[in-house]
Amino acid sequence: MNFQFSSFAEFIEMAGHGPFVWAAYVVTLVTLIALIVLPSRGASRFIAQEKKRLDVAERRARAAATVATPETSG
Amino acid sequence: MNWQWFHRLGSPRWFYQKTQAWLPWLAIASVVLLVTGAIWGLGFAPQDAKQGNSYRIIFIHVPAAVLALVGYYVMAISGAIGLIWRMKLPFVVMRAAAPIGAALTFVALFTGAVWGKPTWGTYWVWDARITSMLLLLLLYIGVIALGQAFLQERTADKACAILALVGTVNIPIIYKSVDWWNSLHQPATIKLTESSSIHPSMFYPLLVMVVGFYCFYAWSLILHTRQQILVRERKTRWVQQMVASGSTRLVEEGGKA
Repeated sequence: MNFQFSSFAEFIEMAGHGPFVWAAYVVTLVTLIALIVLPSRGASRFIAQEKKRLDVAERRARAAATVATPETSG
Repeated sequence: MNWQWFHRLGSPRWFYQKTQAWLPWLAIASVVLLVTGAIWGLGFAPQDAKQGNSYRIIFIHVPAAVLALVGYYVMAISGAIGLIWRMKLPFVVMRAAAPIGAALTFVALFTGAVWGKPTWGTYWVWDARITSMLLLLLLYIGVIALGQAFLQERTADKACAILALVGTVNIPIIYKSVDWWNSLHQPATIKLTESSSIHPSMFYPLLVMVVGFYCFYAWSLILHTRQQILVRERKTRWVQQMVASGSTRLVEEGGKA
């Protein structure tokens, strides 16, 4: 099994078929990367969002408790 | 017979827990196989006698098309299981399979078009194979759109499952289209029952790519399903605990990961 091209330039050129072959591979690569990155980022974002929501709710609850019992807040 | 495993399969939490350990292995297998197959196909497989170098697109075109069809079965069968046994998880898998299937169908159509130009002299023909693949893309998009059209998740799940099941009619048509109608599209080069019309020096890299795409599909499907599970199970205690810890990793109570 040998490398089929005599130089790197020839490999890119692919005897005139380069633009077609490389366009197909690049678009495929970008699509596949998106199919991994989007759900992973989506999951982390969801957790971060929910955590933020939880923290805000907690802070509000604590603030409300402080107002209700001012003597314990120092 | 012990059916516990089957009912466990319906549990989102069990799925989330189980698949956590599979992800790195699927990722490694996908990347190694796809990179090996692509380098082999692009640089080391011999030129085609008739098509020259343009045929090197086959190494992504065929696997993407195969997984686009297999993915449709995954989506439709998950939908059917959800409808019959009223389980939560299969519906989530079904909904997760739709965007992956749409993306792979798009890849198959796009790579086919840029392969068609130097080979047939045109990017697009309205022949049976290409038109039925376009219909497949529309079915996938239909399932995605239908899923977003309902406020109630359960109604959306049922509607998507029914559309997916009706659409399975299209799959054998795509598969057989090159035999039933005259077409510019070449007939299948790999056959299970008779000898293939592809030389081993081109067949092996193609095989590596097909296996790589299968691994990739599983990887992406699991990631999409896990994301949907988090959103749907947001009210449960186990997701709330993950939110509190700020991580997408589920740590089992008692320290077992």
